[in-house]
Amino acid sequence: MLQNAWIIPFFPLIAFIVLLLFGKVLKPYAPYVGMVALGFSFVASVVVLVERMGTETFGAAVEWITIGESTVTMGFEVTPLNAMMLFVVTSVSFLVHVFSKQYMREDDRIHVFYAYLGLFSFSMLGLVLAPNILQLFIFWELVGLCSFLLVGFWYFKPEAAAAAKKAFLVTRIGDVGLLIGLILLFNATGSFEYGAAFEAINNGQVSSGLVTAIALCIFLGAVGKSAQFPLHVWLPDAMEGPTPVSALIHAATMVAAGVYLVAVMYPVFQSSGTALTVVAYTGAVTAIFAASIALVNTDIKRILAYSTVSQLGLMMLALGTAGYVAGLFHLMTHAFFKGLLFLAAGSVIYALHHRQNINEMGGIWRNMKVTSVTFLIGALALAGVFPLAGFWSKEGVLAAVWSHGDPVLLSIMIITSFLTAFYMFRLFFKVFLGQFRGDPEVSHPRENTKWMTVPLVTLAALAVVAGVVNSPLSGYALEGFLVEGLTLGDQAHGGIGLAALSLFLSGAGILLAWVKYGRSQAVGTEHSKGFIKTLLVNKYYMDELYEAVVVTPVLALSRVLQRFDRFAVDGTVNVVARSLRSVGKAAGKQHNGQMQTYGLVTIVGSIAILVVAFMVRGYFG
Amino acid sequence: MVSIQFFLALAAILFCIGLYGVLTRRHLVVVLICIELMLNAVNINLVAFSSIGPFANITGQVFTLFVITVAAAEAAVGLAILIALYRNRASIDAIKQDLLRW
Amino acid sequence: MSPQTVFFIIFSVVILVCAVLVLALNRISHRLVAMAFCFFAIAGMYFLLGAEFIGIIQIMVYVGAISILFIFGMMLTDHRAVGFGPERSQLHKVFSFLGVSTLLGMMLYGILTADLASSSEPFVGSVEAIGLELYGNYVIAFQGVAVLLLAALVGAIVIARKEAE
Repeated sequence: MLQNAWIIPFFPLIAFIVLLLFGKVLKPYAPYVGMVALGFSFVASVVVLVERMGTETFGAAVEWITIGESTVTMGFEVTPLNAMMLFVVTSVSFLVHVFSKQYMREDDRIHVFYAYLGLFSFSMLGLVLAPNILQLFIFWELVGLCSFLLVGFWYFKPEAAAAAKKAFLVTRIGDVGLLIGLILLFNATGSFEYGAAFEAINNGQVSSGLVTAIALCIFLGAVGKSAQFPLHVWLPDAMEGPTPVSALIHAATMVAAGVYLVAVMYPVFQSSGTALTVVAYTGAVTAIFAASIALVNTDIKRILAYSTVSQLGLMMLALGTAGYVAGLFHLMTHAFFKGLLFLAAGSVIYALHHRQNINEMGGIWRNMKVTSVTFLIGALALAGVFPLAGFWSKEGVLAAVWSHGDPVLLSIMIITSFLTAFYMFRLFFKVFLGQFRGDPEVSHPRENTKWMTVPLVTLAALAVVAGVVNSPLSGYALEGFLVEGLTLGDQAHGGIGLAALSLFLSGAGILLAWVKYGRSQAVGTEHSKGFIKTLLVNKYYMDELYEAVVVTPVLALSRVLQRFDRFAVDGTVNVVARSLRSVGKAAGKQHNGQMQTYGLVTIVGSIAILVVAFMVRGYFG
Repeated sequence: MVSIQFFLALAAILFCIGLYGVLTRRHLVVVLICIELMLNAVNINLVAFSSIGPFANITGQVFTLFVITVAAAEAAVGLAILIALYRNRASIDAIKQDLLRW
Repeated sequence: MSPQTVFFIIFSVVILVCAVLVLALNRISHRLVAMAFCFFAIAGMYFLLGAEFIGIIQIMVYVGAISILFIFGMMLTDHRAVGFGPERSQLHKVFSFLGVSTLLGMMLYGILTADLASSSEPFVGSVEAIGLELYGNYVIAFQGVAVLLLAALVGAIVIARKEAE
């Protein structure tokens, strides 16, 4: 199966093409087309994962372009990292496909939606399988395009259209960085292949300054894609898309691409201590920054979005502090429980007829048992409660930071863990407990059909058990699998002390949330209006800062250029056009059908020619 | 004998008067008359060269005969066209005849 | 001043004045008379040049036949109209005048500066010589012109005939 791993991305691609061509006809069956394709992909990636555990890395490539000495290839590669990512992506994507059948049922363009989902899955799977960074870049851009299409799926909503544009433009900054980085890498090492490029760097063929530059440029791409500070602004706005899309973007595909990129380019980062430090600090700042915003937000999906940003920050932090396995492990577990949380949130939103403000929710526990229980499992996992998946992965991150020894990073990590638990349970208590505070029309939401609950339960099960694969219970099996073929330092493991610290932080966060929001059921809205609250509600004024620093000057410059274009360039063109038109009009007027006018023009023209000939050559030549 | 240049100049002036008439007169019969004037100017040229030109010979007069014949045919057909035109459009004003436009 | 010169001047003046009158007179019948006189003077010019046969043909064809033809053409069409409706723009006339005068200027310049040796006595083209030439060198052209005349005759009748109801 390993040699046929390339087929995994092609199932969704086929679904995309089929839905593109026959979508109108297949409309009622579009979800099945998508599900079947992703089902095949999922089965195939499970087979690939299992098979990969027993054998060596398999790669195959065909020559694509030859430029002088260098050859660019296209192909695929099944490394442990790829195999794990394939499994994560296909499983979450499959469940999202299943979930969307119900969620998007009433949408008239459901076939288009499933076509985009298929393309999205294809792009992400292709990105994961790519054996060289150029091919990765191609799929990377495809992923960006798909996120644009899906975030703006409800393009008739102005906010959705703006959000899609914002997502596209902000990630574009990162993409340019990545492009520069890979050009630098190719220039320095003469190859796009991971293996050859890393070898050249490890052999010291590339000066350390250049390596740092390459690593930072590549990291810029990851910052854009994985919504790290300061390019995180697009992700919360991307919540304007349909909720299953949010689940897919946040759990499996789009944002995971950034972390995957850093992981796959890890040897480059290892060669540059500066780059690793930058990665770690960016991750740390992002983590605490986003977590603090999530404390006060009132939109159920945006809270989850900021949570995603925060968790991605933790992954980056882990990668930056030499916790390669911890970061990827957290990526995997996070994919499951964040996918779960988003789908559960989607279930709630669907039941409440697309209302998202948590101040207008409450008491949902009584009406939607499955959703509530699975959401609780997801929240516990995210908060890091033993023995759920989040506990193990977060402890791994904590261990990596602890062994790294930077007190700043460590304290940020600790605070973030606490905040995570707090905001998740604030969300949980406000949405699921207490009295319903929203529109009386929807005060008795009903549990959704199996199409929604089955994916929730499946993801909940994964969120419970996924942590085991890298725990002492399984002898850190994932670590043994992932580090194969890589030269990494010792991966830190938390002892009982760190586990206790982690649990204490989670417990404290949950308890505080209970005291503040859970105990007094009547508390509807927060009253404090302090400076910090205002700052947080306004998301540290990041959007306003960008507006002032980037958007306004660019717009002003554009306006100046537009003026120039309109008056100088267009003016010149218009003068030419107008003069031609007036010549035409004058000539057209001569075309009046009267033979004497025609005769006059003919005679005068002939005479003019004669005069010229006369002046040039004399009378008789 | 009068120098040939004077005959040529006379013919040129006559030709130009005819040409001006063709271009500006609005009565189509007058336009036809002016064409006849232009043809006559050519005839004067031919006969002048034939009689007192540098290489005087009979050919010029033969050509004059041809020109006269063609002019007669042209006048006959032209007037026939004018009559048909007048019958159909009730005008022989050159300005009103704008069929060439379409 | 030799008699030829005197006659040349008389004929020239008559030709040019009549030609100008053709353009300048108002009534169409007056113009036709001016045209006839103009053709007549041209015939005189042919006699002056010693081309008697051509001169007689000129009188017969132009002054006799074509003038009568034009008179019929005039009578069958709009012979009462003195002027037509609104004038054409002056620009047309100005351009025509400029163009034609440029042409005339060029031609006169060429004619008057050309070095043309003219023989003192005119070459007399006898009827015999013309006939020999016509039926000798130019017999095919002669036959062609005959066909042309026939075609013009038939064409003129067909065109001018009232269309069948």
